[in-house]
Amino acid sequence: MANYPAIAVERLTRSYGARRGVIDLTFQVQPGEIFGFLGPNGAGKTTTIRVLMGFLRPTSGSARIFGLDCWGDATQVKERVGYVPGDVRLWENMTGERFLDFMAAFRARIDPKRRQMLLERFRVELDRPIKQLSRGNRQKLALVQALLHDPPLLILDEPTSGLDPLMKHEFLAFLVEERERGKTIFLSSHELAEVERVADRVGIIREGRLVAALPIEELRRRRTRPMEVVFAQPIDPRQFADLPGVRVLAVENSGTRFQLGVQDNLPALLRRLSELPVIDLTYAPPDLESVFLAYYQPEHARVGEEDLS
Amino acid sequence: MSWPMVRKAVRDLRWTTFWYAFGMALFIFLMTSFYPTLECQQEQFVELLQQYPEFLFRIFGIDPTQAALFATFAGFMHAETFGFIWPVTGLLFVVLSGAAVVAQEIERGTADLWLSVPIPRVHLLVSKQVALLSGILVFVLTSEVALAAGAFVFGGDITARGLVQLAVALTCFLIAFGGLATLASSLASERSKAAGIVGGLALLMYLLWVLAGLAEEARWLRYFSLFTVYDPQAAMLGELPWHKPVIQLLVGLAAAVAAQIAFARRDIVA
Repeated sequence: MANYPAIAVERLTRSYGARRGVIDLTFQVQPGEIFGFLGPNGAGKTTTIRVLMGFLRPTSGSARIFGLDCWGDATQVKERVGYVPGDVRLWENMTGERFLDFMAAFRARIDPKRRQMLLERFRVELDRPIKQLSRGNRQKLALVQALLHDPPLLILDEPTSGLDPLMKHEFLAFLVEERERGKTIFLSSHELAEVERVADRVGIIREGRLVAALPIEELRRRRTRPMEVVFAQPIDPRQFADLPGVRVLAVENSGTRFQLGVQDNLPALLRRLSELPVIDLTYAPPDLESVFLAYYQPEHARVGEEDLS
Repeated sequence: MSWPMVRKAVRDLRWTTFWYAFGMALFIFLMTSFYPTLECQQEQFVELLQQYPEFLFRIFGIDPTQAALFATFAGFMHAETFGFIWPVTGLLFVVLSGAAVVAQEIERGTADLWLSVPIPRVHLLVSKQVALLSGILVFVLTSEVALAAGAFVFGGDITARGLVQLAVALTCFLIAFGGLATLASSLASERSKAAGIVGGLALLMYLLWVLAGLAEEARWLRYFSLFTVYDPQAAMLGELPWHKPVIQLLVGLAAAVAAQIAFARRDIVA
């Protein structure tokens, strides 16, 4: 197992008849890393995960986990995987306790101490029927069942959806601890900030194709954070032309409202703004769209020029 | 097979099984209580029956050439229960329950977690099929107990051999349609579609069987209906031709195996 990549996807294509699924994906995830799988809704993240879990057969290409074929050796693959689906649906008539007991019954051994630790850490409601639980509590149950048997690989499809901010924070911290214990984590998400916090590398998927697979530092370097600046009077966009790493994305309200893309060089930009009649400023966290902008810069530059004209 | 899965599936099915079995048992016992009245007026009753048109007998699963048997306990229970009401209720039970095995998991979105456990798909499905079989057995045995109790209390005439043969006939009939329902469920992604397919098939088979009995030229149609080999009256009389339940059993098993193959090979699309 140690000699193989945790996940090896090779020229994977999966189509649904005429509909696109994923096209010619190739990437690897090494043991002991957190791999963020980023893409907007409908990009093909869930299709990729369904192939990895052996729910879908590849149209062409291959998907392997620890050297095992995800379709042909699906049972052995699942022994090594903890999985959280993107849209968590549980058996509603069970209580949380019965659900966890049921899922644990398929595993060779469950450490009661680990179970207790997970229940305490994620504050899972066990006594009530699942149909009475909130979305967040159902999500926590799904997370705990995936972690219960301490698998070497976690495949998590939007695992923090429905969690409150505190629990989201706790869960991401837990993922980092799991990585330190040598676990591999495949984390699918459309939230860039979340992936940035924990991932070692990211794969970016768009319209079924892998746009990039790169270390997180590289992603941080390339992604753009959006800044909106409102001025008291119209400003000439050329004021920002000499600042490397800063681009004017759009100018609105007769030159008083600017949308800027800030890749780096924030100190120089702040110095420049301090010389201008700024009345309001919003500096948003990085989002996925800004990453795509970085990868489609020529296209984007044209849009920017049109906006400016 | 996976025992945790069998336990869960049996648990999921328990109330459905209970209400179908309890309701049918109550109905059977009630019907047996009417038998003494009929027994007292046997001759008039047979005369009355002979006035009825043939198709009316056929529709309710009665061979009009054996209308005289109606006055016996086996004939009475066949006409009142096992010829029509029992198979319709039994079909509702197995078709709706069988149609749920895979399609309902997909429809409700629980298939992702169901399939994430390290158990081969075939074992997961076999576990559900075993649970359905246990439901069928409970349904049949409860009906049998009600029939035996009714016969004992109200003076019906049925032998142990008749009871055993009836149990075999009823079980094999439900196994045949239960197998077909699990096959439809393994191919579909919605329970209603799977149930609709098998329900429609059962109705078609029933019509073919009725038509086959009405006209000599249409007799060949009986080979396309599982109702041709459903013969509870002969079973209650202890005269069940063994090829009939064997054919039903083989159809059920073949369909169940086909369901396992189809499920193991299909894509589970969210």
